[in-house]
Amino acid sequence: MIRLHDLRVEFDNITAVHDLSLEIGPGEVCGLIGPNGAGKTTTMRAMLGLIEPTRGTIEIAGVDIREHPERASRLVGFMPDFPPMYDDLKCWEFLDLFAGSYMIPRPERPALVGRYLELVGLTEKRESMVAELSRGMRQRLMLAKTLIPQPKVILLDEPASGMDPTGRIDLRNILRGLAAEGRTVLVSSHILTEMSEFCTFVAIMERGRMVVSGRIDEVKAQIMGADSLAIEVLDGEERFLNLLAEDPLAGPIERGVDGVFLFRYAGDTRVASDLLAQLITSGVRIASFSRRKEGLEELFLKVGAKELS
Amino acid sequence: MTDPRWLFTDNPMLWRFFRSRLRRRQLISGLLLVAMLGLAAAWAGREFNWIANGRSLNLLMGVQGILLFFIGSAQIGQQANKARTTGMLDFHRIAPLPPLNVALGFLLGAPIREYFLAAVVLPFAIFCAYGSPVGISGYLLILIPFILAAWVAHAMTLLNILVGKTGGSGARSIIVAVFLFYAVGGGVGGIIGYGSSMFGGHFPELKFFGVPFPAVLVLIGHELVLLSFFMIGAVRKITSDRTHTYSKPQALGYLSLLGFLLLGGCWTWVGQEYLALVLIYVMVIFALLLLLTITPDQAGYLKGLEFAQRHGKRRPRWWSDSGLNRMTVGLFGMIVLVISTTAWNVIGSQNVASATSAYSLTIVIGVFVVAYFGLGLQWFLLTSAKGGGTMFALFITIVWFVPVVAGSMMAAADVKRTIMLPTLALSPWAGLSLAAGINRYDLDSFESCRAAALLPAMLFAFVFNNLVSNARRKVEHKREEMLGIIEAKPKGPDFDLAG
Repeated sequence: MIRLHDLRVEFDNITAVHDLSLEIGPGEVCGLIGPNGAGKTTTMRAMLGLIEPTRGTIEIAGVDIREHPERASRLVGFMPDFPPMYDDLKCWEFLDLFAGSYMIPRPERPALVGRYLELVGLTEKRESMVAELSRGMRQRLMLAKTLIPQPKVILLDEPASGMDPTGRIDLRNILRGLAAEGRTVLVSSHILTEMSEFCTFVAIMERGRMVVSGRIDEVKAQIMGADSLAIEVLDGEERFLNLLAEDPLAGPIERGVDGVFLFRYAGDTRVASDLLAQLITSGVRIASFSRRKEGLEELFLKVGAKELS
Repeated sequence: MTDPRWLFTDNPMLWRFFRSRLRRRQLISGLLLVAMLGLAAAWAGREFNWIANGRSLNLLMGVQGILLFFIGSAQIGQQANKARTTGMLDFHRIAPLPPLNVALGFLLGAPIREYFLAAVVLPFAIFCAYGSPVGISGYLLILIPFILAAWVAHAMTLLNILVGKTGGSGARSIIVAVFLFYAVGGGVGGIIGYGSSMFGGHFPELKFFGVPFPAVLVLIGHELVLLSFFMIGAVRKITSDRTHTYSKPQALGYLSLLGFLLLGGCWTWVGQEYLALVLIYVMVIFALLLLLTITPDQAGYLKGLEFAQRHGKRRPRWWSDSGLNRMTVGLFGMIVLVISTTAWNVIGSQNVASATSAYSLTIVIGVFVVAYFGLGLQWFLLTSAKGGGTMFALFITIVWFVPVVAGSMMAAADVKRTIMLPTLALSPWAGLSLAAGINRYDLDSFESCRAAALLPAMLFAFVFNNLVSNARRKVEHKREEMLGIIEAKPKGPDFDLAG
């Protein structure tokens, strides 16, 4: 659905995006991660045709945006960070303007506007002026504006900033729903813990280059290796440590400040449950046993990107 | 082709302004205020007998003018500026609604409240026109160029906002020049002149290529040309912020059209030698200003190369935005040559046959000035990724203004005219006139002035033409090296550490 090939964007003497290639299929929610200045927003703006790449190709649902910008524009929805708005319009008027800008016939617009206001939880604010909305509500309204033309590809730049917890949960559900409909979503955000909850695909950028990209499970397996096990032992710590020392699947063991043992375990869920059974039968008393999946934050830090600012 | 419904009745940008600017509370208070003004003017007309001499109608048309020209333009400027600086315009750029619709939305929608207010004045104005020398039909006839002139002002404001900051000063300067030349000199002056004649009970005529036309038609024709000039630029800037204000074919079209209109207007002014010289200046100035809006920089040319080669071509076509300006410079020169020569033959040479050779040389100098300006600009922009424009401005300052300053200082110091005048003539702005023979009776300096005006222009044109060829080769070579199409040249022995 999104295909970038050897994309390069230069401004004067600065190369903002460096020969970047990325392919994201339909139904994926891709987290575009990177420190400030990594080139995320520039990449998004190039995908929208707002910045002309120095070279490379950008295809949206098979349409080359430089060859057929008009066709491509019908396929993409974009929500920027700190979205600008027409403050002198009412909420429904704002959505109607953009429904019209996407050439949706006038008779179809009222129902569509109502449906999307409901989707983002702004039905009660229908007649309110945009200027009167809080930051979070403006984000919701902008999300509705982005979704109203029903684009196949959705680009979201920090969509959750300023949203309250309910708004964030709604956003998560909406993104999952979009992915289930087969749309491709590219989200750039600094809130990596939240991105972990809905992203199926990850692309990590640094200084204009793509460090790694792919489905999260595959990237994690490639970068992070095995998942971790966290076990809280009540009695029989020595036996526990001896048993694990003999287990070739277990990695080096660390003990957290809360007394929980943490270690990488290369076995799958079934093998891990066998280990639990073995520990119990050998008399180790276990208070808790859990498999920890690393989130995007750990992945991001592992690939060596700089700290988020 | 856009469905006309999306241009007007279904244009969402128009509706956006209808909704935001026609909210009942603000509209009604404005309507009441203007209605009271109109009523006062009509009442004063009856009481003080201002209707018969047209003073009331003048007053009401002044109110309409303030509403449409000043407040309307300010509204467009404010709305377009806000949309551009906040980034809303980018949303319109990425939406499928054609940029022409967006531009029309701004043009007709942003001042919509002012149109309503001006419409409130209309019944009072018609009442006052009824008893005035103009009459109702005369007033309604004036309204057509009047409203068109307001649209021209609005379109100019819109374009001015859109080319600001990133659009470059080149585009801005041409807007200002067109405004000064046409809107002040022709458009506004024309309306006032035309209106005054009507108030005097005359329906004036203007000759175009010797054929008399009702002045209103000539005025409307000129206004439509101006409107299209500004709107095409605005639509292009709405399409993309980084695009040139005009394409090369559009710039060529406008220069030709300008020449055609100038020739048509001057056609019957036979024997007016000075007018032929003015016409050369005007054509050269407009050619230079248009060149500023169409010349690509290095980044633009590189993108054009990439795009052309993806389509199996070696270089961008000359008429594309990213194509080098050389061919356009040549065509600009031809247009200047043809228009200036025709003007001289028709209006200038009748009484002063002896000066024909002098004027021919002036025309040639004008053509070379256009050539070296365009090629010089192209070379500076092509060779430096950043700051090429500034370097070019510096070059032009030295070549154009230093001789004028030096010549003026010599004049002040009473230096011999045979030295002072040729020094002045080194700058094309003095050189064009001096080579045309405004000092032809000063035979000692005439020939040296002609040489001083011609030689640098010719020299720069040839030098920059060669430099542009070299710069193009270098840029293309560097790109091919970068892409690995050709091997990078080994560095010289100074840098070869192993050696």
